[in-house]
Amino acid sequence: MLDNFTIVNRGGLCLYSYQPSASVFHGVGLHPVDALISNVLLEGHASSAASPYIVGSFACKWHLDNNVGLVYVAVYRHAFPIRYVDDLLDSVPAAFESHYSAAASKPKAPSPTNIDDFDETFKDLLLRAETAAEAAKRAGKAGKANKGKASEGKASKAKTSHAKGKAEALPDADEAAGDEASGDGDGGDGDGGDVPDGKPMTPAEKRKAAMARLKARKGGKGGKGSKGGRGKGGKASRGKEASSPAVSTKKRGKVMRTKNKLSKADEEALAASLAMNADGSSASARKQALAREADEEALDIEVVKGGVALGDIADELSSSSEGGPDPLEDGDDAGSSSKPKATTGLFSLFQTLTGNKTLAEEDLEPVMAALAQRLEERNVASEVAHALTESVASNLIGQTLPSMTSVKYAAKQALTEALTRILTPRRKIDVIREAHAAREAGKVYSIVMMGVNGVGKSTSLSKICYWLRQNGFSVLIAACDTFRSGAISQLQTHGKRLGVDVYEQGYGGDPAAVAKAAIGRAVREGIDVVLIDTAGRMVKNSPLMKALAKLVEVNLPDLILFVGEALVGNDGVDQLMGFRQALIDHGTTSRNIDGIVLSKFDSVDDKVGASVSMVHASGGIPIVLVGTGQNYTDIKGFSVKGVVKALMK
Amino acid sequence: MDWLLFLPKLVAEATPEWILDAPLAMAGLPTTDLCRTYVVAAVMVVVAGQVAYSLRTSSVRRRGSCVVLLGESGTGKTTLFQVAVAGGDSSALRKCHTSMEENRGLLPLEWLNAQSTAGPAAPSARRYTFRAALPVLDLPGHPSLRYKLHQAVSSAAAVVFVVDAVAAADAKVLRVTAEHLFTVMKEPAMVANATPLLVFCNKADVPSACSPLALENALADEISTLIDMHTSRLEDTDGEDPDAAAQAAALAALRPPSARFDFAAVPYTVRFTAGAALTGQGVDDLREFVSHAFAQ
Repeated sequence: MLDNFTIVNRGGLCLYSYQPSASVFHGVGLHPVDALISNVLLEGHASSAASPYIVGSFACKWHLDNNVGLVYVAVYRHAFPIRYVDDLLDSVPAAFESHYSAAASKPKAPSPTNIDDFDETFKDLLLRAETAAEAAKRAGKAGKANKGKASEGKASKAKTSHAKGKAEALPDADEAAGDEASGDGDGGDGDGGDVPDGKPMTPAEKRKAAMARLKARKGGKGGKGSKGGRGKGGKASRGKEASSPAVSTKKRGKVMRTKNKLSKADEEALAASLAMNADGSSASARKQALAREADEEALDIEVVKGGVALGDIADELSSSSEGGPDPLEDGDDAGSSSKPKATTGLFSLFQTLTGNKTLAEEDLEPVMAALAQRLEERNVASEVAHALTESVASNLIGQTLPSMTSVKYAAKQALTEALTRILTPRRKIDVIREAHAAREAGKVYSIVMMGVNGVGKSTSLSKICYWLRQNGFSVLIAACDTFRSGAISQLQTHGKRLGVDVYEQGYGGDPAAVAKAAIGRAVREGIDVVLIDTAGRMVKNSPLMKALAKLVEVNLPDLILFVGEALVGNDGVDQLMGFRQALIDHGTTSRNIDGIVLSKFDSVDDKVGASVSMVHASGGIPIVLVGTGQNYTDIKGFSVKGVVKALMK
Repeated sequence: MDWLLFLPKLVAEATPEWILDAPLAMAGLPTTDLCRTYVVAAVMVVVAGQVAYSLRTSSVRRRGSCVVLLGESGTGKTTLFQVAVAGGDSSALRKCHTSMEENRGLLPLEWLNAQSTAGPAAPSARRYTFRAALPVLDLPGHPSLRYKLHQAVSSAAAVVFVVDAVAAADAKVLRVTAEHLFTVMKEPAMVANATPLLVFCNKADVPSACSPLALENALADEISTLIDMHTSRLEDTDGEDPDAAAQAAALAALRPPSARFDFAAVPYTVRFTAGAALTGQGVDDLREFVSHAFAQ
């Protein structure tokens, strides 16, 4: 069941909300829509709308309409996925936009008034989608019973039920499907497997992808399409006549099939047959009425019900019923080549000057590729660079460019903003402030440093120690690197220089126990802060990772810092995610990495991308401190502005 | 006279003749060198006037003309924005979600001048009342969008900082709120322009809401700590910050003479008011505050 459907503008005003049960989100904490906006849409993860975002027991799917600045969100129980969510997210935006431009004089400026009567339209769309999905599901079951014969039957059924938009149409459809299945047995069994009952919930993206694939495999898919079309024809004729047309349909089906295997050369024949089918379906009086009532839209939505293979063709079917002699060619042209044509050359320049240019994917692709490359050159992990630019592009497509702005400039601007947003920490970690608060509460503040070998854990720790000492805190260092020989004496050297005690129990001990004992001593002696140094370890070393998780679990440190090198590219992300995952896998507490210390920042010049990779991939773990040299004083705060500037210059 | 026309003459000689002849031909004047010089002189006078005017207005009112709504996410800024734009009418409120972009609108004001504020609602004073509207900007509270704060505050005539008076009872929320408020208060533009600040303690209709006085005290305590902590802050990796000096000056202005920070000692007006955006309570206070700020 759909728990909530919300249309919200970018300013946060809820323009329409459908929620059958008023109390469904009580006690959930953050409303799923709010969670989606603040955790996904504002964090540069918006590119992959194909997979739902999960908040608690709810799942959200969304659609961005950048031209009018609206977000459509559907919320449902994630344990009960809904088949028709994608259909709904496809059909509602168009309906809402037409509704809304009719209601408001200026379609570009969402006026929150006059749109209250959208409820009816929405419920109608919802009912349609529901019944269609239901029909598709039942058709799928029938198809199973008939061993894959029902691919036509389903298409016809989906069409029937959809065009009618009512459940009462279903019995008819079922009948038709049954007839169809038995009559067209030969035609169906070849491709029945291609249209399993799960297909109707294929996401919109997949359909688009399939559309692209279709261009490559026109002939092969055409076969299915013709079948779908023929199914309708067959059913229509059967509605009135006896079984003889069924035979002829079958024959035609076979002819078609062999032809389709020859692919290219038969497109015209196929087109002709499609057109014929369209005629066929309008032959019977009832179907005529249906066709008139539902025409193109019906076909469109039928696409969704019919699944990938049928769907793609049905698009073309609709264009063929519009009378194009070569529907397949037409369909392709409309999809791919007409847009770029319109936006090249002088016309595009003119549009830029007048500020009427609407950004399309084709415009953004080269610019975004260039920007992604630039990010990669600045050491941003390649997957992060691509995810980021894709997310920025998905936020730009459909927007209208301001006048005198080039696509490149707009894209750069948007990326700059996205980077700033991502790097700006959601929760500011102020070590001094928190240590101060702990001291006032009479507690010991404990910090754990972790990371792989040689990234500078001990050095960073000594710098933090110096900084804390400067601010009047008493510090104890816990030497929990009981693994690497020389680790303890290294810390003792630091401790001597800084005038800080080092708590150690020699090599080979249990790090968790050492840390526990150190904290215990700090409590007894009234020391403010305990800095816990751990052994460097590789993510794949599972015994050591378990030991680390145990240390965290036993001591529940107030701050867990991951030390990462600023030099690394893709590795940094893997390391961070590995540590995080290990703490989740091996630990039972919810404690995890709170922040990142970026070491060796002085050695990277403008290749500051590691910071972006780590923050983005980890979903917003902030960079707390930056190490910039060999001295105790070489520790700095992280400047978002500076890093963004270095990345974008 | 000749020396006055020296510069225009030079420019007129340097300009292609056809450009200057066009307006002369339209005005029906002879296309002589002198006339061309006059054309150039006229253009220069107009341009100089424009520049002088813009300079003067920018120096007289450095403060912008915009009312800026700030605050943490989920405190009710967008709701307050809706009510304020509707002139205090809370009947047609829309539900709100987290904002991704700022909302802009016009805040209708009864801009009361000196007479009318002196005598409350005297019929004669009413005559001096005239209506005006101020642009109001509702900035998203999401921390990732905090970078927009600086520019918004620079263009503000008045700042309204919205606090969730119910949630602020929680120590953690209070700390985060105080940090945000402090960030706003130490903006150089606030101190330099003496931008008035209204702390709108929202959700006062809920029984468990903190009173404005309690919030004022609690926030003052938190901000004192923040000012103390500020010296311990590490230098940023960025290094050259162009307005570091201005920030230091702003901070110095906020630093209290005694140990404890006090909102009353701040060099610009800070007021606390209770309200409830959902019911429209307190919106009149807001309008009055804003009209005062604008009349100053």
